[in-house]
Amino acid sequence: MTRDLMKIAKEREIVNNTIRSFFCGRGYTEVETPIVVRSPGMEPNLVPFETTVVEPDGTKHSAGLITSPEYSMKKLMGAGMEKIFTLTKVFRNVEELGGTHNPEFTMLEWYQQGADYVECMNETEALVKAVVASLSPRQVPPPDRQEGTGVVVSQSFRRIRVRDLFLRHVGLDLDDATTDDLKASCAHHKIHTDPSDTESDLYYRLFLALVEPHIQTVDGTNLPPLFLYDYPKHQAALSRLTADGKYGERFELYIDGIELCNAFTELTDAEEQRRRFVEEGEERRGLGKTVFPLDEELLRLLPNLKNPSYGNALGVDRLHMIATGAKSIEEVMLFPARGLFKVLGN
Amino acid sequence: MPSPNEMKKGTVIRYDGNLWAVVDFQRVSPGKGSSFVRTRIKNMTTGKIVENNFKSSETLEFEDVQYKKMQYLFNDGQLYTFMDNQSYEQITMGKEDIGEDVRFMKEGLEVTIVMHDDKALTIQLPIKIQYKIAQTEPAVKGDSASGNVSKDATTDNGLAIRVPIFIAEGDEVMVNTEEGTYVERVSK
Repeated sequence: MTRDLMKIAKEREIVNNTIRSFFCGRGYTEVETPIVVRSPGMEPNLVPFETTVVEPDGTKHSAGLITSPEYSMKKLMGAGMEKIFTLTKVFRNVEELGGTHNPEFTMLEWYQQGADYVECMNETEALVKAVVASLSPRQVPPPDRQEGTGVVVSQSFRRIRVRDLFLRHVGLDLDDATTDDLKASCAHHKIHTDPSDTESDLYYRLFLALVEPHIQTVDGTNLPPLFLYDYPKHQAALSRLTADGKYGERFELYIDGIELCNAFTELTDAEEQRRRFVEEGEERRGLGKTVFPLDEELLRLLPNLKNPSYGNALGVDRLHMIATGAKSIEEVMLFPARGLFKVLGN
Repeated sequence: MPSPNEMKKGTVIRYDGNLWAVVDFQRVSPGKGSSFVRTRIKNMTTGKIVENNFKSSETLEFEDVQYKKMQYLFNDGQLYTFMDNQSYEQITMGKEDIGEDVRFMKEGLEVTIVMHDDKALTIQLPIKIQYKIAQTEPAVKGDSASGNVSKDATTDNGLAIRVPIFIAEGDEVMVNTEEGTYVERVSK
């Protein structure tokens, strides 16, 4: 094998150390959260690994591996912790093996009370620059690495609202676009639709076909990293709404075409949260997926959170890819899943 | 009915009144909502390639296709010729039908041809193929100390890859065709 395991291990050590000193220097506390839980996640789109916790007397408890440490992190905040971060393994089944995906990956999540997603963008930009700089100390990309590395360190990240990109590339104003408008726009741009499409599906068809291709490059030139923010409500179920009530306060960061993180000004209304959990549970039932029990402890503690509070979930393997110019997640993992589950040559 | 999630390269779908062969596909999902499969599909009548995104929960009609093991013989720059080693039957395919995989072609290579109604749609390559290194710079003392662990090389069929510094011209190496990357040196 050509993979230089020592190089991968050393790089990852530097990435993790930089993350830890970044947050400790800002007054955050590192916390450990459980991986095997009763309710691993409600997102209709995700498939958690399911298992059973068995007591010595044979008593059984259905359980799953977390798709994100979010619920535990919010409980800690509800119990009074103001600034926390965690570096943990998370698990998502029915994902690609390779590319930018692996069924098991490392997630950095951090939360702060009393601040909103704009402050989170500032902090995220500082963190990414610190990690990239820690792997290329001279802040100059080595000649055999692509320009991406240099771009990250030297330029300000762009910040654009989803609405503005839609206006520019789709010619549609999301401020008052109805489901019918989205459908008409798909037809106008000759984009395939399906009778089962929801408002969210139509939005995403337009995004995939017309918006996403412009996120990274313009006329073949690489653009600086982009914070895309203020998502339509149907794309931001766990976030506070913007002042005009039309969007969710969510952002994603795109670097070199990679989706690095996903952040919200968190929803702190337990009633609304319960309603959305139930709704997502119904959606899961409709898709034939396991419906996990509501996390009542989370719902009980949620109202204790200050408004605003922000949270961000960032893929550490992808950050490692970006910082080293790697093209596949397997180049930055010691044990990529493809090697574990697909014997080479098969 | 099959889901778009079950698509593979070479799958033939009936869509919009036409038959289309899947050239490339990639699963994508937004943070919330349904997941999608981004595809490049080729119209089997006109040969035109279009991009199309299918929702994973849509139903799609798949057509039956046959798979035939054949050996690659030669190309004239545009047309690639393959032969069935049992029946000696030959077929030709356009360069664009093979797509990006043309860079892996070498004389005598055994591939799987995806057929529909006796028409060759595309090919599927073995996961690993062995090549001879035709050109690469010799390793220089101090390379590994300065952090250089790999270098550029070209194989005998013109494929450009990165190899470890200990690889020399004339070495036989295994290349992974999904990633286009070096796997291992074949012991002599």
